[in-house]
Amino acid sequence: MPKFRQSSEGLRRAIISVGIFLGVITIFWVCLQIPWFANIFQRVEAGIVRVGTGIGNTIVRVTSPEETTASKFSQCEAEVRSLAIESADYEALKREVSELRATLAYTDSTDGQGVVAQVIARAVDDDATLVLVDKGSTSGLVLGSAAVIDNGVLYGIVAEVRSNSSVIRLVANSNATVPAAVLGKGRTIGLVEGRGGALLFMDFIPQDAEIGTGNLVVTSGLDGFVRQGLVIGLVTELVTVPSAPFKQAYIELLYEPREWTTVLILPPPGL
Amino acid sequence: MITSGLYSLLLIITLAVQAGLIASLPLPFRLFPLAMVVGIILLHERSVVLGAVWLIMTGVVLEARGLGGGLAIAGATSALVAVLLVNFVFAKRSFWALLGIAAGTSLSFVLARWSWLLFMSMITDQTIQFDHLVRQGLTMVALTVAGVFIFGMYIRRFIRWSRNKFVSKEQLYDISFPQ
Repeated sequence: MPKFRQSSEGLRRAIISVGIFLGVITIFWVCLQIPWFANIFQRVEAGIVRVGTGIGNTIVRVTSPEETTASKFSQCEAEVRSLAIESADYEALKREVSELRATLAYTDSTDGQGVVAQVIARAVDDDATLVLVDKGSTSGLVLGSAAVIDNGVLYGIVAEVRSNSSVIRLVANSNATVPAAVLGKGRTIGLVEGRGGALLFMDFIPQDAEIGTGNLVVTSGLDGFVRQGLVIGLVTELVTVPSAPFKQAYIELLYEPREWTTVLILPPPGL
Repeated sequence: MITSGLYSLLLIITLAVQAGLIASLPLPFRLFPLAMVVGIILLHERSVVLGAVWLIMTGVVLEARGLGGGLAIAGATSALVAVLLVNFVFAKRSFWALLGIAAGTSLSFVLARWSWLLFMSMITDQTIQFDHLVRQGLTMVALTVAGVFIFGMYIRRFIRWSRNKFVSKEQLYDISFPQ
């Protein structure tokens, strides 16, 4: 341990050092409010995320064994996902057609103009269930909008909007709740909650609803912000207590959040 | 003075790498707290004050960007614990002392974060998976110590280089934490 100089000069220098340290960060923060500066920095950050994702995917590919039962199972899972997404599309289209037939005044509110956004940062803990994207209110993003990946899979909900960036709370986040429906023998409304890990939890499923493992869970659009029919995941386990008013179910996500760097932000229906 | 400005730029770069590159890696690598590792070595090797401010600002910046709640409190707590450890427990500037500070600082960060999450779960409907949190927290502590052990030599060498480059020996001890 070095000997400290207890002089006012030492204290003054310490204060100046800290002041400069904080000053540079403050200046940088202020500069981030300037659109062109924020744009350059976000491009750099998006590049870093892409490099990290590439390295991560390589690590996963190298460390995962090939031609084993597990890899074959993964292939089957991928096929199930693909079929599940097609099934969701089919159900959504069927419903859309029936609604069109029901009313001539129907206007298609599900084809809102989406905004493509790049992931520029992820939370280190919380299983990276909070991500920062490079689009904000200046690009037309609003709170509660759905972030979608792949072919209509719900990635998360816009939880915070700033001028040049937004925070997306992934479905797996422990604070995330999404009104959902189970596509099975009937249309059941429930609430999907994140649990911080890979599994989601669906609550408030009526006891008389006939659902089973492997059923597809999609958004119900009940909250008015997220359009209906976006894929959330597959039911992996049912929790049924006969005396309880509702059933619960565990939902498995259809994607690995870490692997996605580009998302589509869909505005709430009607906007 | 110049080094303070350079270190603040280094903090910005470190945080961009942590939240961009490291957070995109699979578990357990994703949990590696790069900024904390650099902050601990900075605190041990360069200046207690700068190191403490680094640790505080790590949490503040990450929370201000919306990448997690309670990070500012956890960062401030870990900075306080690090200052106490470096002054009263691991007073020698040895490599083993550095590892001890790393373990204590990261553990205090994790405990502060758990406390905040517990508090938030009590006042809101938020559910927490405690076993999941414990696993993540302990992994983070282990990665911090491992990170200091593995990268400590290189970061120390860089800090010593920058210290010799920009700061005189006299100035070095002047900006340490006054007792």
